[in-house]
Amino acid sequence: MATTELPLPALPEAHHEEPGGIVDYLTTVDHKKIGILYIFTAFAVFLAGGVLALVVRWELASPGLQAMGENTYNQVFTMHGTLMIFLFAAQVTTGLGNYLVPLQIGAADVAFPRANAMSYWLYLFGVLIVVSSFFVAGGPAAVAWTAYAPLSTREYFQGTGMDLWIIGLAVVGVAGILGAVNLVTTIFRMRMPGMTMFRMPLFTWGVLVNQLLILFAFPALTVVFALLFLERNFGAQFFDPTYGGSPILFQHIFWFFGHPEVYIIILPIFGIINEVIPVFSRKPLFGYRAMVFAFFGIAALSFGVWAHHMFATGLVYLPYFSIMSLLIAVPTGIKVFNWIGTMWRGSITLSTAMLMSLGFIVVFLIGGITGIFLASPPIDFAVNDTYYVVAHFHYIMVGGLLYGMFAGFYFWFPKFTGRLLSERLGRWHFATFFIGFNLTFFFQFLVGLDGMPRRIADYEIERWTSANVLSTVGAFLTGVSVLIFIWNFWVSIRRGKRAGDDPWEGNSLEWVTSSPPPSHNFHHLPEVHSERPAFDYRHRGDPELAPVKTDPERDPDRG
Amino acid sequence: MTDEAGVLLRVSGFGIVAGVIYWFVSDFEALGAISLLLLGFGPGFAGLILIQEQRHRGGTRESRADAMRRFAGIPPQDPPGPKDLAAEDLGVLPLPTIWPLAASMGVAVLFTGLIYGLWLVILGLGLLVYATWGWLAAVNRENRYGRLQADTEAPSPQSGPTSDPRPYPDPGPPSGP
Repeated sequence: MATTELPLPALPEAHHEEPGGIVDYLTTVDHKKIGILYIFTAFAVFLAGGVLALVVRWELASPGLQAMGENTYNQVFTMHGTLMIFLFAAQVTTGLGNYLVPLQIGAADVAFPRANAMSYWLYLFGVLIVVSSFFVAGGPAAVAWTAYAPLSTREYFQGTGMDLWIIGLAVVGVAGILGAVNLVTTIFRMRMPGMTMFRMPLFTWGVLVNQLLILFAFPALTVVFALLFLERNFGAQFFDPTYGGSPILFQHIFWFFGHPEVYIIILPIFGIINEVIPVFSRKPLFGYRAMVFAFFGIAALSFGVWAHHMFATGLVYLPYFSIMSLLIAVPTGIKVFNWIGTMWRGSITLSTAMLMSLGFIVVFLIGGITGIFLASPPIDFAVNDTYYVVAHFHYIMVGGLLYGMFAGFYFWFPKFTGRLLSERLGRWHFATFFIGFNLTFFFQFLVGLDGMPRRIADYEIERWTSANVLSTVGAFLTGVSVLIFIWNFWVSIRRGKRAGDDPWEGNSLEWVTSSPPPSHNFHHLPEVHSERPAFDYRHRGDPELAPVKTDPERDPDRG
Repeated sequence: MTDEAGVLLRVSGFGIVAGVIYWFVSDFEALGAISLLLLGFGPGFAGLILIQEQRHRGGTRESRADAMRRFAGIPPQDPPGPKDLAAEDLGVLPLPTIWPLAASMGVAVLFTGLIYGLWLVILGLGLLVYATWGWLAAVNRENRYGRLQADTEAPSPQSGPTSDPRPYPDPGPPSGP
């Protein structure tokens, strides 16, 4: 399909503002600057977590203990998981949502700008508290990111690092709830006239559902950490069976947060893919409403599957959780089907953002299908706590998140900065990332099926060595790909090509304002008659492409 | 019923139905059933508040014709979007402030004090109270500034999302005739 060449309407003149200084950022209540602070902080956390991942891979490259003892190894993989899951993955999408949601719904800012700033600062202080645990006696937590009790109680782990871990994450939890109230209120209450719920961009839908999940899931996390902290420091006995407590209680509450957390991370990424694929396929999204209902289907089901992480305890009702877990494949399948439907017979441009989106679909499919196997209790019993689970988890969380995140960065970088990221470096980034990522994690499926347990610093079975070497090589190649991205960012922000306001001919409202947007977001807003207001605005003179408007006089019900 | 309330009530319905089913099939396992029911009642409560609020604002109920149109996928009536925001009052955006940072620092110090001792809790609490006071004072100053502007300027005919001519709470009835 070829796009019709039309003269572009005169869009608002670019309004370039100089970036603010440190004091400006310390005192800002502008959602865009707060979004950028979120993204930069989360990315710094990602780099730290990535370095820890490389340390893990270095240790596992060959049998024997190479670089560290077992306790240090436990601390390294615990902090890797903590940084990545709690402090990076859920936060980078919050940053993107902060920046983009008001722009996409035609608002000047979020509903509570000062509370928005407080959310960010709470998040930053939470990160600092968790990271400070590296510098206390005994070092950081060493109980995995799940921190199962009684392993995390004082009886088994005495160090202050564990307490800092709990407190830091509790502060981040408070930040998350505050931020969620803000973004949900913004989306419900601050949409511009004409922007009905079912005309919102799907990234905004993804953020809405994601923030609703945070609102309902994070309190469970805060509760379980409060119980753990009371048990560790004030003599409470919630999880010790000898005093009438139950270790299973911890797992139940933790996973009531933990499984929705997967979707908290991935739903905004679905939203990014929903934005990128139609733009670079030059077609409207196939099945807009189905996509929205799939968001809600996934979100609702995610609250009904928490105990599939506890199959091996033997203390949960297997058929219920197995069926609910299998059902999640249905709305997810709808999404993948609709993405393919959108690309079908489209005029596809293989930009870096599009390549990353295609990479996302591939790795997310692999991760999703291997997850369906895990939803079956007999298979789960066999591969529980092996590298199969690690591989599945990373295909979903790392593959899903990072491909989507990078797609979003390449897509919206021109809006953030007014400049384009280099496509040449972007292709190198994609190629090294795709090869490195699959090299790292694909072979972990194989050693996992062969029984290699996770969370071990050493192994003695020689036949696992080659897969582990490949994994390590892949991990370092992935690290190189991230360095390419950082170099691309550094070069492009200084000398990148000027992007103009709408370099991709996007669909949503952020593309009708200047790049970067002015402090109040819009000098001018078009009317909204469909879920593609920027497209309608661009083609407003074309009767074949402009939206059909009903005449109120001929339709009395509308008057 | 608004779309927003509809979203929340649907989530609520799922939570309640899943909670009841889980209660029976799990042989009356309490924790999961309570969690799911809370998931049901929380959004349901928020959805009912939205419906109530809409009624208080005098919002009309959806007509049968509107409902039929919605099921047919025909967009509802389009209120006109703002045409030009350039000349509008942008002072409704809050001014930069240090107090959110200070308040967050207070919360972080307070929480960390739970590990290291009461003195840190008191320090954090003091910082939090001071920051809250500063925050409220800043909001109050901006509100007074906003009211002054709203009272002295005529409302803009091109009102849009950033252009509410009286963006702050009404100061109350005028004292004079």
